[in-house]
Amino acid sequence: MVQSEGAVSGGARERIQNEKSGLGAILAHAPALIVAVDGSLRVEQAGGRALRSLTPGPMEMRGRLASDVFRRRPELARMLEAAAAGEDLTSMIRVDERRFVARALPLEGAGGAVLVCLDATENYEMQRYGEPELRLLLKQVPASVWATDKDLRITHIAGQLAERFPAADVVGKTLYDLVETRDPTHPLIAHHLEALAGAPNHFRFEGKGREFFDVHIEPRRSTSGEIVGCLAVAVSATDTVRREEELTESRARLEEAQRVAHVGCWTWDLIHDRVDGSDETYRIFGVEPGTNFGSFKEVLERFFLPEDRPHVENVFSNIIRTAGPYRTDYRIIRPDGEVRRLHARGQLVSDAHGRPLRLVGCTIDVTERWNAEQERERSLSLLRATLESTADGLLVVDRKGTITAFNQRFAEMWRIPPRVLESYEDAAALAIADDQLQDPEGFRTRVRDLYDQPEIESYDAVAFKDGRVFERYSRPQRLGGEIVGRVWSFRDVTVREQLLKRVLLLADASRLLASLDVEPAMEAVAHLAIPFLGESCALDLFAAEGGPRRLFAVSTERVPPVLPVLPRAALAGHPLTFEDQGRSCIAAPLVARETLIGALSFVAAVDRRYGPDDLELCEELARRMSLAYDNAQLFRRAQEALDARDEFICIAAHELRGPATSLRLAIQSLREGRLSPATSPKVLEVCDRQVKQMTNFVEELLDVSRLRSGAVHLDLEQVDLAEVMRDMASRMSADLSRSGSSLSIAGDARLVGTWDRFKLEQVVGNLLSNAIKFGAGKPIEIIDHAEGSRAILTVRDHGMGIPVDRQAAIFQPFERAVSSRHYGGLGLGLYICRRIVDAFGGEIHLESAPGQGSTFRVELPTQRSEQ
Amino acid sequence: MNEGWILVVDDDPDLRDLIVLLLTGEGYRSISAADGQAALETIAAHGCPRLILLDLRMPRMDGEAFSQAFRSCAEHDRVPIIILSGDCIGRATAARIGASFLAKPVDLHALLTAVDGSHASLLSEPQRAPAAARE
Repeated sequence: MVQSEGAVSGGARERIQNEKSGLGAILAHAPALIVAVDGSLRVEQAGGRALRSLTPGPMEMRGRLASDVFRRRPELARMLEAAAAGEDLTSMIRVDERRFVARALPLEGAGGAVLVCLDATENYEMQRYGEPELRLLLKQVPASVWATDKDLRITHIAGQLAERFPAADVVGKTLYDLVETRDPTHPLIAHHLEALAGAPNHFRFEGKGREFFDVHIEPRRSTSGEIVGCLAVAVSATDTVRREEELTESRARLEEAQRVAHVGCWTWDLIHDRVDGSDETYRIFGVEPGTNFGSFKEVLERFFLPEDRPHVENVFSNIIRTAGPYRTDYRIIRPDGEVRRLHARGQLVSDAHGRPLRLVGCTIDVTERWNAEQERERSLSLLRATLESTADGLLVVDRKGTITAFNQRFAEMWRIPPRVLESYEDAAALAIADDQLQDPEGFRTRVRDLYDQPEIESYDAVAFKDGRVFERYSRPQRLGGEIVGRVWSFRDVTVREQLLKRVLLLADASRLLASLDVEPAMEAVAHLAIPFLGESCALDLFAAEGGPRRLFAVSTERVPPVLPVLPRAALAGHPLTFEDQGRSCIAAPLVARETLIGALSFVAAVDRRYGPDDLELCEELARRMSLAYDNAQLFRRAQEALDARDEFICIAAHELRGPATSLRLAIQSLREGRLSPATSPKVLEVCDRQVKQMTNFVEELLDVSRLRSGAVHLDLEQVDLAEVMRDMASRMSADLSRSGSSLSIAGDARLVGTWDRFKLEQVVGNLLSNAIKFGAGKPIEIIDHAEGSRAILTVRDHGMGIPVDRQAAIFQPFERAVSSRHYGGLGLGLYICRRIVDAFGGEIHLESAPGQGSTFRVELPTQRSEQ
Repeated sequence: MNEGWILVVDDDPDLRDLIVLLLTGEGYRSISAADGQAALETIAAHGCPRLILLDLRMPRMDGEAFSQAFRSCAEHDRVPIIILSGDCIGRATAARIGASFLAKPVDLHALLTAVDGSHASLLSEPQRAPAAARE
């Protein structure tokens, strides 16, 4: 039996119970069994991990009788019983191969006993009991236990942590020696002193080398209750401190990470309606960390834009109602007025009964990302708008042949249905293109070549069956220097090409039309124009009289010409398009010097409809044809006038050589006496007439010259037309008799007007002379009569007559209705008549038909109206 | 008219008369006509002349038309024609129809020489010159 330092008192037992965290906790892990029983031997406390085989677990032991608990070890029950009776017993117990030291001590005051069993198998040889056993016991404790006296001299020390302080070196020394100071504020000294003063205390002590200990110091009392020293236990807290430090550090890291990531954590305590957040949450909201957020409503009003509040409120009430995890975006306005965009996600936390406790979550400031996305959206939108607003068709294909982008214009230009483009297969789009191209094989080959050579940039022109022409550009698409696909750009240059071709057509037309042989030239132009304007082309010329004359109608070979009936508008000189037998037609007038001379018309291919461009081209061709035709006509007329002039000179020469011949022959015969004297008077008469005739010719020529050179000079006087008629008939009686025609004069016997007598005589004389010349020996009538203020002179013959198309010409100088080969005279008479009648303010008309004779009707105002 | 006669065709009556008068004075027998048509009628009435003095520019039927009509008959083939014309193209026309040409105004001696020459050449051909033309 070993006498203890002092019986465990009832107060000590309470303390032991109260301080389970101290020794109790240590003992729980001790390789021992400690059992406390009350006076009635019922287990009050039990602990220790040893002797499991001896006893049930502590919980099962509590409240049970010791005899029951130690049923299999009745000696232990007996020891407790004896100790409760005041004995202090120690014995050895053998359990299987292990040996234990068991000691039972009485508990003073409240009664009862404590049993301590220590595994002493290893120390069995020592066979030492009492203090050595306790020392052994304490040696097992992962702590240090020491005791001091009132002077803080170490009296006992044990435990694993004390290994570094062997009892031999330490016991007997004071704490002051050990800490090498007497400073009462030194934590160890201060806490020991505090215990000596009666206050058990707890503190954490940092030793050398960042070793930490949780130290518990109790005052040690004698049985009389006097404090005789300290009892201290130090448990290593180094691991705990390290864990705490690591925790602190990882918290700091988390804080830092949140700050860097703009992620703030927050909690909305639904029970107390209080919102709290991490530091970063405060920073995100633009307030000092630690600021009281207050209630949800306060947060709402302080940080949310008025227009957003109902939505946010709604979102959060939904989250609480549905209790699901959530994610949502919202805007806040910081106290400084800056608006930020936040993304929040989190979870509702409820209690075991499903009652919502709090919302926890995190908030990410996505303002920068949102701005970047907005910028990206804007850029994309700009890119898309640019793509769509360009007149070019754009297509982007990656290197696998997948369409990655295209614009609407591309789909329209190539007439590719949306479903094909939506398949994103370039091959499918190419197949659609095939049917439309003039040279699909060539196009495919070039496309294939380009796909085989990704780095090539190329240009090409693509011709369509329907006449459209695209310019094609293609260049590689690069991403960071790497070729990832190919960009195709198509520009519809049909209009430009057509314009160019039209310009060339017009140039060719002008070149052709420069020919004076204008009709074949116009036909050649029509052939050139047909590829532009349709299947057939016709040119109609409008003569002064009668309907249009079709100059030509040309057509493409496979379709016979469709000849439209020209509509009124074309005949009236306006270009137009119209329908004829279901075909689109176009007609433009040929106008020369404000006179409609013809119409150019085209008939379109069956499925074509003419538009304004076609009308314009047709009109331009017609304009050029008009000009060319008119030029040719003018040239022809000029040529004809020149020919007429030459002819006139010939005639004049001929007409002068006639009398000259007569005169020459007459003079030579008379001079040489070749004629009988009896014939001399007749020959002289011939000479006289021939001289007169020559004089008349000369006069006529001079008249023409005067009449052509300017205004006709009139010597006006009262003249009797009837008298002039009779006079002239008399003067021309010889010619009349030679011609064989008879002349009858009828009408008013007197018809006086204000005229130039000589010129009136010229009019009558010329008309009579004309009638005699062309009267074919048939009767001639000359009649005068008055119609109001006009005198009408009619001269009618019954000769050969004048064709209608020559009737206008005969009043022109150097013109005659019949070939100049047949008739003598200069052919100027009727021209002279017209000029004089014009000068009198009158008119001269001709009614005639071939074989029907001619009637000249002259109307002269009897009174000169002064202008 | 067995010895042959000369046909004078001209639309100018004074010249026509004057030439007939002159030829008569020189001993030739001649008949005149006012145009080609009248000339053909005269030939139809009087038979073939041995020489024709022909104007070109005449009404109804001009000299060229007349000569074509006249020559269309094979027996007229060798009857000489002398064109008397003031026409610019008279000489060319004469060559075309195989006739001699005298430009108006005609010189009397040239005319008589031509008539005489034509007459002589005709006389040398027995089948065509039945008798002397001089009256």
